[in-house]
Amino acid sequence: MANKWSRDLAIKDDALHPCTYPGSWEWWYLDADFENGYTIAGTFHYGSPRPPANSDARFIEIAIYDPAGNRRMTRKRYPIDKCSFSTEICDVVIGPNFMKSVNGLEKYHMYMSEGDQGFDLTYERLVTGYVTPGQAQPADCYPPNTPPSWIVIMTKAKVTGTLTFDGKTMKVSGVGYHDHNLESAPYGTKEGGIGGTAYGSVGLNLFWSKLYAGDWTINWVCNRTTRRGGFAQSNRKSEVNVIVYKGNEIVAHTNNGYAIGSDTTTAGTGPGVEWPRHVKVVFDEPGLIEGTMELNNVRCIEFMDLHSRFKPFQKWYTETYIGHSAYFRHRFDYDANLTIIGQPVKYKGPFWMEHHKYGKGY
Amino acid sequence: MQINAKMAEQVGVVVCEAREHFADAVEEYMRNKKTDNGFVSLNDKLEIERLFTEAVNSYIIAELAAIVSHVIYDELKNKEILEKIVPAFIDQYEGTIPRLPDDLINKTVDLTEIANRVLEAQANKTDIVKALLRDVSLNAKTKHMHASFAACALNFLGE
Repeated sequence: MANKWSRDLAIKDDALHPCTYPGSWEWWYLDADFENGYTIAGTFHYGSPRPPANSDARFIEIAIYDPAGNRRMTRKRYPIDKCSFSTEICDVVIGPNFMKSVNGLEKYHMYMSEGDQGFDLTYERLVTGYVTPGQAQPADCYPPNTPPSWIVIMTKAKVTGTLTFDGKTMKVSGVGYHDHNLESAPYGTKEGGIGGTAYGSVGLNLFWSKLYAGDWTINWVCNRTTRRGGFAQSNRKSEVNVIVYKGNEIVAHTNNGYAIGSDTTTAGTGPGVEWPRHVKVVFDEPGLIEGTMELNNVRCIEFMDLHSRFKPFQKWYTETYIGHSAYFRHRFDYDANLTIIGQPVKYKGPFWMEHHKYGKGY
Repeated sequence: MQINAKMAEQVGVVVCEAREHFADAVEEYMRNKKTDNGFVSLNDKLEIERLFTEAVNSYIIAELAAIVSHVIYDELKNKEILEKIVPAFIDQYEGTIPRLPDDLINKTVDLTEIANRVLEAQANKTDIVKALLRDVSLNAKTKHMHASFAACALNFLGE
């Protein structure tokens, strides 16, 4: 896999990265889309990624969305003595929930179960992963003031097993994804964040998703600074990371492009928090990847009001000067019209995205 | 040092907010101009300068004062900085403004209720937090910059 865009992944990349910095955190993430229309997303947390910093927090989140749009979200915290983490290999245990490597980075056993919701799945890697050069090294302690490390272990995986929704267990098969993120401080507490009062960099909307289209896989995270983005640099550039695979090989990468939302509506109570019904994604790396993806958000399936943890004057301050930060997942219909390494890539279909909203506007 | 770094970021946050409101106000002014001959007249410049002053008075003066005061308070632990010295200065400054900007009034409209709610909860609060809460409760409808200052300080104190 090693090429100019990514170093080789090691088994230790997906192990715990021992870090003594106060506020450090890691999470292991997985998702899957099943042929029966269900979608899952799950996370194993070592330390809190959101302020206030708490490296001792151990918790899991299980989200299951059925084809009709019903959602089941379970978040549960466990004491440290009910959890274990290997520093050699992915072997993450939080209460009864676990994520374990069965065969290096090629095959994993993912099990999460809380009450009437859960899954027991095998992930077999179809498309390799990615780590930004310079980010966390395998199981090294990561220094402060470095970018958050995004280690993609399986960009695309064959997923089989069972899914339990409201106590009903069904056999499932589909396509999944697994990555591992780590940082030395909670989101928003360094580099353009707003200290202990909010979530992320001021003025950004960040969209993340994948495009699984034929032999092509695109793992893209795009944002675009709003007018509020960056007080030091009023014309701060978009921040984009797009990794393109053909088969099992990375064939292109770019940091050039943007994603911008429009036609907004709101979620939540009161004035609500804006989210876009339409997102336009533009890739702009001539010769590697260029073109657009038009995404029509047909349903907001997840909304987390990140102000719910704030105290009254923190809420007032953030609403007044920054905006209401939130986390969303949206189902969308896409229309991709791209040219990748000179080849036309045109696809349409349904999928979903993650949307971090850090401030006002789009 | 950590407090200083965080407070330095807050300078950017409030300047960014003021910048955005100022740009919006200029846009609205230019759109509403009855004549547009392509020139910025002397009257236009005076009006744009007035809009700039309103943005600064609405989003920067009290806020910057709170940011700097918090840094000094954190170093010296002298609560009079937040309770008396700087608020008195803010009151004097606010007294010189002939017409308070709507943005300044609007952004403080809910503060009395927020402060009263926290005070009524009677949770364990430090003396300085109680003093600032009373400050907000008493002043949010009359001394808007003073209330903004105290509300920002409460935010920085984790309230």
